[in-house]
Amino acid sequence: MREQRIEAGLSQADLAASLGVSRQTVISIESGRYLPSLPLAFRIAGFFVMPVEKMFDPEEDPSE
Amino acid sequence: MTRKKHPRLWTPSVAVLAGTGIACAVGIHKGWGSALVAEVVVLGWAFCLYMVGGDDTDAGAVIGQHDDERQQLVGRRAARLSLTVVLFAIVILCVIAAAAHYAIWPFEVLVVVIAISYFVGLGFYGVDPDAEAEDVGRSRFGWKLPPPQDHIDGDAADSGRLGAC
Repeated sequence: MREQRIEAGLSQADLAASLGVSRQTVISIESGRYLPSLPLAFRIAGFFVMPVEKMFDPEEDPSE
Repeated sequence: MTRKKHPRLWTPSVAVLAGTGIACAVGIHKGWGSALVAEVVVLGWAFCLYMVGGDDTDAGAVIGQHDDERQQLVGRRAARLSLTVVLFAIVILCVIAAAAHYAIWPFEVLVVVIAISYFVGLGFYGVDPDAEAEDVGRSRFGWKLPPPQDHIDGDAADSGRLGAC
């Protein structure tokens, strides 16, 4: 998600405001400390116009 | 996020209501001068809660009632931790009160209220165990599953064959 956000030229606060969550939640998702709920995951994927399974690859470790 | 009108005022308002009740009790027991002091402390506490509720932090979001899904989870975990600590404190205070020959019934009432509300919560938020499954015999992908072993007729079970799916 971090890569997509940077590509889109958004700050964490901008993305948080667009998704209707807090900036801390965006930070937690990007660092892999929090897994979003399904509705939020779909909202994030929809925001970046990407399939949700590509946005949140279960095999990928987001902390890396 | 939680949608409430003036969400930041909710927690301080509850604190003022509860604190005023305690201040009234103090007034009845120790006089209205003490009650006034207690009420000033309560109002100060409520003001602190209001200020913290505006912070751009997890604590601010939870106290200010404008928390998102992760912050709600944080709030629930914090509440669970505080309840665990309260339970330990009740047990320790109950032992001290019993040893010092003080009344222990308030502790018993607290334990009973906590236990009842816990089981009410389990019943309220849990899934009804008698709820009928609508997808018996089907996997989550819609494929038909083989019937359970005890539904297979004797010959088929003996020969290792499965019944028709």
